[in-house]
Amino acid sequence: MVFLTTFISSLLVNNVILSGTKGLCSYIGLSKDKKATLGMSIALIVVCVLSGLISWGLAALLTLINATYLSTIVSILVIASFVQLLEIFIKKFLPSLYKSLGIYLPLITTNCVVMGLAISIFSTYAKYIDGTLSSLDSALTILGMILAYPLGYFMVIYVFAFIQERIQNNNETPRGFKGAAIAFIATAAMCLAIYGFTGLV
Amino acid sequence: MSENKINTADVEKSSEVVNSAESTQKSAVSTKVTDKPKKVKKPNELLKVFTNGIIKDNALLVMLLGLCPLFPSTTSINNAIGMSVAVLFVLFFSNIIISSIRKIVPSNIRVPVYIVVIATLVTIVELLMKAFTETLYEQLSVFISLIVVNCIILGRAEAFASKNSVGKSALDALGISIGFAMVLLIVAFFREVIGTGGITFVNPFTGDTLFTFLPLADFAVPVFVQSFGGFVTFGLVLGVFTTITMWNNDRKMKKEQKEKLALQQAKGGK
Amino acid sequence: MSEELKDKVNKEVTTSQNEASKDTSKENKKQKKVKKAKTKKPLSNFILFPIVLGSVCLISAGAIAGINYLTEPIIARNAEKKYLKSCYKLLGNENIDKTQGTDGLSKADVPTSASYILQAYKVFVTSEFASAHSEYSDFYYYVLQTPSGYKGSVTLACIIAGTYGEDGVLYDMMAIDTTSEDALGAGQLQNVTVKPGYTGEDGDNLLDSGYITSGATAKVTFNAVDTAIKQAIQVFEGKIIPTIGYQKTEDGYEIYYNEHSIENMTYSSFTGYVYIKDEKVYNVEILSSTNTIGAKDNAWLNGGSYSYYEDMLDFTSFSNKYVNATDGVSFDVFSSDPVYVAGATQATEGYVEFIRSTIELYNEHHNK
Repeated sequence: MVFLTTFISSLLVNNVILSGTKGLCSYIGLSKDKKATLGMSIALIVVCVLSGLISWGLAALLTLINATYLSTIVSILVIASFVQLLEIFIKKFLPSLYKSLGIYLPLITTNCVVMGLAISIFSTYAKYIDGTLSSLDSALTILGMILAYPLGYFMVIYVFAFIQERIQNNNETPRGFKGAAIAFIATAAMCLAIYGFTGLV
Repeated sequence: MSENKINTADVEKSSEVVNSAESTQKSAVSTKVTDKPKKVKKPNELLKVFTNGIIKDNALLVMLLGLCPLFPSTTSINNAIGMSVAVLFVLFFSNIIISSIRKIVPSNIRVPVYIVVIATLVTIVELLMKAFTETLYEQLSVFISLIVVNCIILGRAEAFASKNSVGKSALDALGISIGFAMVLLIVAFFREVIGTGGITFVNPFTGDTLFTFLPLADFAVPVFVQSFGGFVTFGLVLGVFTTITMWNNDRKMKKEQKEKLALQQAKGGK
Repeated sequence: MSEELKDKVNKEVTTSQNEASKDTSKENKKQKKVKKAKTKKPLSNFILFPIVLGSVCLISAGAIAGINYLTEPIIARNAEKKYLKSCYKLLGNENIDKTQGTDGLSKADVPTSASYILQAYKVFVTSEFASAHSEYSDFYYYVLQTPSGYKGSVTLACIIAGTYGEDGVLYDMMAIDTTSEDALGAGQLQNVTVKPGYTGEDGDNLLDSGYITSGATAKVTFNAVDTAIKQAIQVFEGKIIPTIGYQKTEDGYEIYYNEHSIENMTYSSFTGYVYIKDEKVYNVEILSSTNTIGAKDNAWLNGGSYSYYEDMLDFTSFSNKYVNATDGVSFDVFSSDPVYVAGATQATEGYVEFIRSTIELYNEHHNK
């Protein structure tokens, strides 16, 4: 139950892009091309799930040695090296996938979604240590977040790719607004739609 | 006459330069860092490095990097100032440190080293903010930690600080931060005025309200303080800025073309 | 116009010339460096990379650890002080007697079964305020985390006034942190005004009670707030059994739940309830004791079976000396040495120490 609540809440109510405003650099840059969005989303799902689990383990480890202030450094190093390893792995064993993903895999290192997920995991684990959440609740919350963050990203960016088609090649868009500016305004309209989900869970 | 020859050749070269500048401006909506290192040691070259980051290579409006901390920190002017100071701190010191160790670090492992340096600075900022400016930290919480994956800082470290001296890197950091702060303040001003009806200043160290001025509180549109308002306001600011830049470039191009035409006519007349 | 153009062109020419000259000078420098480098043997990559990376990591970790060491006490103090500010706001800064306790507050017991209560403090008010509100003898300040409303929970500060342990009413409340809750509920909560008097009985509803005035209703949020406030009032009235602490029954017995450990050969720790009223001990209920011999549940007044060391404790004579259900045994009996039961000296010592530590709890509770 807690899993479902967290999952739906992180997916719809507190969507990572539209409500949490993370992952915007790649969102604006990639959404013009549908294939690119698919590739980026799949890569992001893989990286999020695996590095989320690693961050969970790291949270337990750092709490053991009482050094939670190292969480930022350790998370970013883990994510960076993990993305590098993943790139080498995909290059060797799945070369066709590597070709289609191309440049987007290294870009995930500086993606705020993955880092935001790591930080949320650390703070949920801290709540478990405090005693505010039980162990089962915290575990289910973390699993829900791990799945919901990249899926929420994928949902929004894929829908937005279709919207971008219409607004970018449109003659009515003013010349100065073409590109990022009109993309942001369209995203704002999507935000209004998401607000309808308030109070769902 | 030979003077004229040199002049026309150089005129063509200069118009080429202007054209290439315009094309980089037009492709500014893509997310590439295309900054060339400055190699000339003229005194006003330093000034150029400094003013580069404010308008011409503004990190948010032109290069579209580091957008993630923009939206939650522009909910009020207080938060905008807080985030700007945090980014200034991290960028300034990271540029200085990376620029001073740029000769020692072998180029194959420079990216992990830069990441460690930046992450250290971000953690220090986080701890200091948690200790001394509690209320500000609560508003910005996650996004202070997300400065570590902010493309601006890693991008400037990679493109500028690793190739230039300490002084120039410091100036570059200051310029970029001032440009960043400018955009943040403009967006925050609009969001706060429309979203709450006025301006409220809070002392970040103690949390006490210093100054409240809410003339339009009855007409406030609270949705502007949420993510919708952020997207709309920033989209409009970006659009206006790009339009003004394009008008400016058009005007410059027209001027160059006029001068080119005049010179050709003068040459033809002779 | 052409002057401008000339200047621009000259600038371009000079910059390109400078660039060209700089390039050549750099070439010379590079050649010199290459010559120098050829004489030195470069360190192998496998050694250099870990050294550089490792040293950078170590310096960073050291810097962060240093800053953490400096700021950790400040952060801990901030976390505690965060809730005190709201207390000052609720009662009025001038009405709190800051000379008593720590800044006018002292920590109160929170039963662990009270899940919504984060912190509990007793507030020392100035005498003017106390006489102006003479119908309330105690003011307690609670920080609550309400259950989930529309979207998230609210951190709430409230003052419960009345007689501690008997009856209490909600005096005032204020929302501290509403960022996770939906804007509708949070906004209503921040604009609410409270009149003292809500008693929080079962079946009461905060919104319909008449003690709250707010604009439009945000029922879900206010129901969550109601649940938390009711629990705070129950804790104030002593109706929730603490796992460590204190409960008051209806006929005036104070039941203290205590865990006491002693350095003792046979008995090392006791857990149980002691019934005290008016500085007299009426009953002792041992729930568990850990000892090297064997643990036994026993109720002194009702007899019980014992493990073989406890068999040596003649229960009736022992209990008659130390516990009397009808009249109670006053505290000063326990201040002198116990009469040891032969063969169970340490057991006697342990039991009496347990009662002594509970008497200390009683004294602490009543001198607060």
